[in-house]
Amino acid sequence: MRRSTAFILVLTMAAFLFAGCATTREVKRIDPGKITDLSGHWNDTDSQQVAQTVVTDCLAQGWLPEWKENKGGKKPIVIIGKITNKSHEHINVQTFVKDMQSSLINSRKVRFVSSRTERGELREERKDQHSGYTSEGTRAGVGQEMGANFMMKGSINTILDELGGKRAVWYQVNMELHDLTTNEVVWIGQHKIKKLITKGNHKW
Amino acid sequence: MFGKYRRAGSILTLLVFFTLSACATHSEVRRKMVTDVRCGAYKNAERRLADLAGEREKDVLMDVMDEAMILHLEGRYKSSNAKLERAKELIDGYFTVDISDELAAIAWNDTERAYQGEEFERVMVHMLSAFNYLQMGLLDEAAVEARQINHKLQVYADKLAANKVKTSYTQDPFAQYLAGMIQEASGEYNDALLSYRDAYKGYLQTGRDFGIAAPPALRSDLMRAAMRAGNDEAYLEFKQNFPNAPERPVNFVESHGRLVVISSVGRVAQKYSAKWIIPDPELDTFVIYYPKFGKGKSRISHVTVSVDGKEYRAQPAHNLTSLAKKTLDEKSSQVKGRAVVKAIAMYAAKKVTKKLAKHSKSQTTQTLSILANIALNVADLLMQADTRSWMSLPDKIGLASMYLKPGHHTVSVNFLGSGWEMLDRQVISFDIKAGQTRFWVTRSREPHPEGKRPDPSPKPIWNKRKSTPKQKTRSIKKRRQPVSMLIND
Repeated sequence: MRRSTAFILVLTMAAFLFAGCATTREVKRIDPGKITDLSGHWNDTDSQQVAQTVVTDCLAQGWLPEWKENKGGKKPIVIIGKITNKSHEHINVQTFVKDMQSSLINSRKVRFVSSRTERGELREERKDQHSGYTSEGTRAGVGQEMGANFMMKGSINTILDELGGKRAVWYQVNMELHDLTTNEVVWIGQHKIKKLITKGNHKW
Repeated sequence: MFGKYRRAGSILTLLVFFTLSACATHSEVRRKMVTDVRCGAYKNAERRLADLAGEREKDVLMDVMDEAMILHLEGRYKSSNAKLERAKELIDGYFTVDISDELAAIAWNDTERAYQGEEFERVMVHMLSAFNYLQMGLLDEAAVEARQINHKLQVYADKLAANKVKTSYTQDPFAQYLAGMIQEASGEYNDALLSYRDAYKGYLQTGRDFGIAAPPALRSDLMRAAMRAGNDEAYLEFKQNFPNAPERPVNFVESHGRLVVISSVGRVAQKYSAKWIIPDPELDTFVIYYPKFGKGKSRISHVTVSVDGKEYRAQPAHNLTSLAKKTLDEKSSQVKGRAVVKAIAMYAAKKVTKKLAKHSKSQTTQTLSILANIALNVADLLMQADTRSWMSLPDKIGLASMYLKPGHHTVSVNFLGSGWEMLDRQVISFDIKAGQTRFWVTRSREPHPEGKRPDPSPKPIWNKRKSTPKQKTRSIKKRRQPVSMLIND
């Protein structure tokens, strides 16, 4: 009797022990378009949403038909300049820039050229192609790069308000399009996102 | 019959002894770790901390903050920032009160509550993160930390106002000064002007409350930022208020590079458990335990920066020990109040159990009362104030800034003792362009009491040059006080 009681006790303890070791992590694949607001910080949804809205607004304005009319229907060439993070969060600006690029290219209303860093890498590759190892017929031509007509620049800003367990975050993304020939600002746009984050007061 | 309880009492006393000695070993290792940090034995400090870290879940914030500091000093800035992000998450999570922890803290010890950090330590989490970004040359990211500091201080001030609590620590002028320098370096002159202005106002207050006055260079910074922001009204106001502040014309500023050296020395004051004992004729103890900060420790009395044959003296800009002491003293009535309530409850419980053990007619009640009395005495012996703190923080922080001609420079930071003897020297060589601002964050490595050699000092990653001159770290020789030394440029 005593031995069986001890056995049951050991089994129970082992069950608790294994239960303690069991992981509670679960991984589920979800639709990339699904909104996942977890911490309340700037996330992929914000980045895509802002890029899409800002580019749509930019391309719907008067500067585009005016420019095309003056240039015989040619599409303008755009480049993205510096997007400054002036927010309270460490935002990966590069991801936002990529979302902007993708929205601009997919619009098919403008042409898009590589950034300064990317251009450096491409020039290195072209130089390598002309160093004697690449067959003449397949070498990329030199001096045929396209120059941008417009540069899009901007900043991500935040205003925070917090009291007790509540925090309101106001993101404001300001974007501008500059004519590279005349320095004229041809378009200014902005997009705002407001979030309210509530923290629990107590737990057991 | 009573022999049994005496034996139980002896076992409990032994348990107390072992628990107390375990605690003593734990804090001794932490103290040694801090000495290693102060004296530049970073690898050793890392090993000691690895032995301690994770021992108590409730101390996780303290462990993470110490780890971040050591990683910073080893020049592992990304890893340090990862730890600091973890610290921020923990601090954010502590807003939600853990009721079971609170009950344990009320019934037992304050250390049963997870360590949540003093307010100035929470601000220092962002400051250290900003230092890491500055060492990596990432000004935009450092500016994010500066904004987070300003927000944190604002939330703190609002919380105090809502709870009608009075404290001197409502501003951190050094944090605001640093924010201004980062913003100016990023070309955000208007923001820089606002931050410098806040810093100046803050220093007026901390000068009164903490003995931390505004560094003289801040006056020149205010005028320059106003000029660069195109704010003529503010510029004229500052010029009138600071007629003796040295000024550089905009074309000089724009045709030179600027080096800002942030130098930390020593280690911040550590908390100890102070007690107040009230004697009792029946030999029952009535003890109130409360935390108090001791003294900061540093052998460094002067910090100078030598470059291009000129020597600049770093100006004191932050005194963490003085801040820690003053803020804890201001909170002491609240902390002592809690300790008094606990001590009264404990004293009353001991009296009741003693009385019951003596006078009760029931044998069971007597037995239970004796056991309860023993348990209460043990609990009383184990009770102590919460002395946890971020121990690896420096004692003081100084600032030196200078304009340099574009090109190559070799700069040394000299940490000097009270007799102007050289205790540590850190050197870097780098190139600077016109209009560029570089930040170099350094910390002194004092001679180790056990004679351990210091590890290399942290180097900024923005400095890509491979040929950094060899450092003379331990040439303790007397120097004369320099005849002429420049206040910051």
